[in-house]
Amino acid sequence: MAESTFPNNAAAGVVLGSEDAGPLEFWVGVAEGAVLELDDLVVADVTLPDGQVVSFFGIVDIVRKRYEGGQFDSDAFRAAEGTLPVEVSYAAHIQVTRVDPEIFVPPHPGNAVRIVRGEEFQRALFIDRMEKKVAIGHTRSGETVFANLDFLDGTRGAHVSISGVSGVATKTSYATFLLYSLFHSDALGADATNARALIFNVKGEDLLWLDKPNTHISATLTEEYKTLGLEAGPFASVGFFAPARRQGKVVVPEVGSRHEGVHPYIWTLREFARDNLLRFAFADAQDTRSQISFLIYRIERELERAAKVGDPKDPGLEVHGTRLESFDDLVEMLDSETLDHMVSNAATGTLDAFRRRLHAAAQHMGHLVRGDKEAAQHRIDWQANQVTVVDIHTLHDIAQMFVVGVLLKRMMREKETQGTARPLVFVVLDELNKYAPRSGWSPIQDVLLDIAERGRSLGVCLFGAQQTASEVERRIVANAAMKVVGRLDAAEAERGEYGFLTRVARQRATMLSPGSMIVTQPEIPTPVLLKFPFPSWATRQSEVREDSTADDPFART
Amino acid sequence: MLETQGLPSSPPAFGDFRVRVDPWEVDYGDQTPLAPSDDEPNEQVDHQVETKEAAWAAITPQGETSLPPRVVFIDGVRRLEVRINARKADQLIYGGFGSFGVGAVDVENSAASFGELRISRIAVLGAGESLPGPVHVRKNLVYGAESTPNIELDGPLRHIQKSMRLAEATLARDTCRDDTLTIVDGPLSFEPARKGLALGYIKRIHQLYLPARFIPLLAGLPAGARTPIFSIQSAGAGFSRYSWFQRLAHPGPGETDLHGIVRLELSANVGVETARRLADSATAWLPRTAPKRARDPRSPQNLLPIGALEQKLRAALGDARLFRRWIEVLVTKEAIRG
Repeated sequence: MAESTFPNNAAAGVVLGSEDAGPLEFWVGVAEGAVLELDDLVVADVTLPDGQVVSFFGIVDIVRKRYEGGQFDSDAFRAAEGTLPVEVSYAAHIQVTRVDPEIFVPPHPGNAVRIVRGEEFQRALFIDRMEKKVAIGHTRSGETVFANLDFLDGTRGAHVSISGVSGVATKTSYATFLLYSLFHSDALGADATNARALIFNVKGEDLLWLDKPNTHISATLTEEYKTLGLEAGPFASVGFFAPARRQGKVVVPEVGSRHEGVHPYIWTLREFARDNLLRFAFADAQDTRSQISFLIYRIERELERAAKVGDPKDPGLEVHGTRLESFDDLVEMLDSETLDHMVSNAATGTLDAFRRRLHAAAQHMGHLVRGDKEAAQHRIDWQANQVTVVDIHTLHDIAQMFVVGVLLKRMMREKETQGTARPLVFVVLDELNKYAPRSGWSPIQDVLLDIAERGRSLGVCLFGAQQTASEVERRIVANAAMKVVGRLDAAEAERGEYGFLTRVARQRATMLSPGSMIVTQPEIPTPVLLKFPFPSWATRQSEVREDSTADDPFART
Repeated sequence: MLETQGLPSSPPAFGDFRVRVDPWEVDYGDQTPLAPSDDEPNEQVDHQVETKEAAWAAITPQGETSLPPRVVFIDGVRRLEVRINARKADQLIYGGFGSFGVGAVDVENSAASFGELRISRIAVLGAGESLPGPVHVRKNLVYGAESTPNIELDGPLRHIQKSMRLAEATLARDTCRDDTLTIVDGPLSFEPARKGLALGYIKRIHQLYLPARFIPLLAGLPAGARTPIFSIQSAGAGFSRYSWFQRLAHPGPGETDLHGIVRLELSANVGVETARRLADSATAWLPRTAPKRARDPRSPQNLLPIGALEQKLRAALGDARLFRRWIEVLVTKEAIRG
C-alpha cells in the first residue's frame, strides 16, 4: 500500500486481496497520504472482461490500522524506539450500497477506490433515482442526504420512527427539522400550500417559539441551511394552543413564558357527548377484555343520543332530564342512580371500578370539558395554520392522553370524510411508548394504529418519537418507512427493534452526539449517519431574537 | 487460472534443452547449508591490533558512544522455487528457477523504516550452459537466464546465493552516504568507496579466527561487551578488515557459551581509531536491536531490523508454491510440444 501513489486526488486506495472481496462488502487498503473515515462513501469502478464497467458504491463502516505482518504486541514499543521497522496497514471495510449496473461480480483486488462527492455521492445512495426528495440532513463531509418523499407522503410508504434517549433534545429537534425542510423547501410542490402539521408539545416549552427566529443564527448556520436548500429562519405559519386554565370562568391558556399568540383550548360537553370522547378519559392501558370498556361504550351511546337533542350550538346538554354544564355535573350524574338506569344490568363491581376511574380522570382532565357559554369557540383549529402546536406539557398523563386521543381521532375522522390523501397531514408525537405501549390496549393506541396502518392512504404521516422503540406497539414501529436513531442506551441498542442498524451502527448509536442521527430509509440499503443543523427557530424564550417582530411578517403582536 | 498467459506460441521457451522438473520439493536436495561458504579460508589474523596479547580482556564501552546519524541495515533472502534437469544430447545439466530479494532498513532520527527493495528472478543452468533467453512464466513473472560453471546439484542454488550477495553489495554501495553506517548481513564483501562506513555482521560463528586460548574469554564475555579488535587479511576478499566479537545477550541456562555472540568486521582502511569508536558504539547499541527469544527463534543474533526486513522480503518474493505450479505448467506444455 505504501508503494501506491495515486494521481487522482479523490483516490483513497485499492481493493485488498488479502481479505475476501465480494459484491456486497470488501476491504480497501488506504493509500499513503489518503484518509478514509467512517461514513465516507466510495466507489470502485471495475472493468469486466467484456469491457463493461461496473461501479460498486459503498459506505465505510470499519476503519483500522495495524502493523503489517506484526505478530507481537511489544512490536509497538520496538517500533517506537526505532529499532524495528514496521509498515502500518490502514484498511477500511466497505459495505456496498449500490452496484450499478446490477452485475454482482466481486470487485478485483488492486482496483482503485475513490471517495465520491456531489453527483456520485447521490448515486451511491440511490438519491438520483428519487423523483421527489426532501433534504433530511448532511454528512460530516457536507454532502446533502435526501429522503424519498414517496415514502413520507404515502405514495409508497409513510411515517417516521425516531428513537433515542431523552435529555439531548434531538428527537424533537430532528422531527421539527424534518417538518421545516418539508415546508420550507419546494419538496412538497403544489401540496405544500395545504399540507398541515400537528405537533404535540410534550415536554418544556421548546416548541412554543417555532415562529421566532433564533438568536444563534450565524453566517455559518445560514450557510448550512443554504447547502440543504433551505433558508435559515422560523416556521412561517404556526398556531399555538395551550390547555385552558383550571380556575376562572374566562377561558385563558395555561402557559409559562409565552403569552401572546397562544390560544386556549377546551371541549364543550356537547362535543364530548356527540363525538364519543368518554373513552379517551379512560385512556391509560387496560385489558381489552375488561367489562369497563363495554360499560363506557354504552354510556357513550347514551350521551351521543342526548347530544342530538337541543340546540347544537349549546355547549351544555341535557341527559336523562339533568342539565349538564360542566364535567363535574357529568361525574355527579354518573355517580347517581342515573348510571344504573343507563346500564341496567351491569355488575356492581364494574360500576364501582368505572366510577373510581372516572373520578380520577375528572380530577385531571375535567377542566378541559365545559358546558358553559364561555366554553364555545375554543376548539383547536389545526387547519388554520401550516403548523399547529398543541401544548400538553402542563397536563397530567390522563389529560395528555385525552387531548392526544381526541385530537387525533378528530383529525382522522375529518380526513376520512375528505376521502382523499391530500392535503397531507404530519403528526409529531413524542413519548409514543406512553400512547401506544407494546403491552395492553388503549383507545389512543387504536387511533395511532389506525394512523400507522391506514394513514398512508389518507395522507397522514406520523413522526413518532420514543426513548425506546422496544416499548412501542410493534405494528406502529414496523409501519414506519423511515427509521431514525439518536443516541441509544447500550442495552436498548441491542434489541431486535433496531435490526435495521448494522453492528457498527449499533455501537455508534450509543455514542452519538446531539445533532447527529442514524437514518435508515427503504431505498438505501445501509443506515446513514447524518447531521442536521441547529434550529434556526427559537426553542426557548432566551433564544428569541428581539427584533423578530420587525423582521417577521408572520409574528403575532 | 493455471494456464500460462502471454506466451508467444514460438519459439520454444527452453531452446534445445529438454527441460524437466525435479518433482521433489526443493528442500529435499538442500542438505548442505550454504552459509559456511561465506567464510573464506587462508586468512591471516593479527589479534594485537588494538591491544597487546597480555592485556587481552573483555571491553565494556564506557560513557557516551555515538553512531553516525543514519544506520542502514542491508539484507537479502533467496530461495529455489524449482529444481530442473536440462538435457542436451548426452549432457545432463542441473538447473533451477529461483528468486532473491535484497533490501534496506533505514534507522534515522530514532525511527526505523524500510528502504528500497530489489527483487530478482533467475533461471540458472549449471555446467556453463544457459537457457536461450528470459523465461516468461507469466506476464509479470519473468526469470532471467543465467549460467554457472558449477556442475554439482547445488550449483544453481550457490549461484543464486552469490547473486544475492552481489545484489546486497550493490544496494549497500548505492545507499552509502557520508553520514551513514551500513550494516550488511554476513561478511563484508565490498569496500565502501570513500563514502560512509560499512560493517559486516556475522551472526553465526563458524570460525574463531583467534587462537584457541581465547575461547574462555569469548565464553565469558558479558552482554554489551566486546573483545579487542583483531585484523583479518584474506586472500579472497582482497582487502584487510578489522573485526571483533561482541555479545548481544546472556545465554540462557543450558545454552551454549557462545550463544548471543556475533562477529563484526569493517574495512581496515578506516584506521584503528575509527574502528575502535565504531566497535564501542556498536557494542553498546546493537544489543538494543536484538529480539527476545519469543519473537524470533534466531534471537538474539537475528536483529529486529534484519528479521523484519527478511519477513518483508519474503512477502515481496511472492508465493513460492504458486510460482512452482506455474513453472511446472510451463515445462509440461513445452514437454508436450516436444
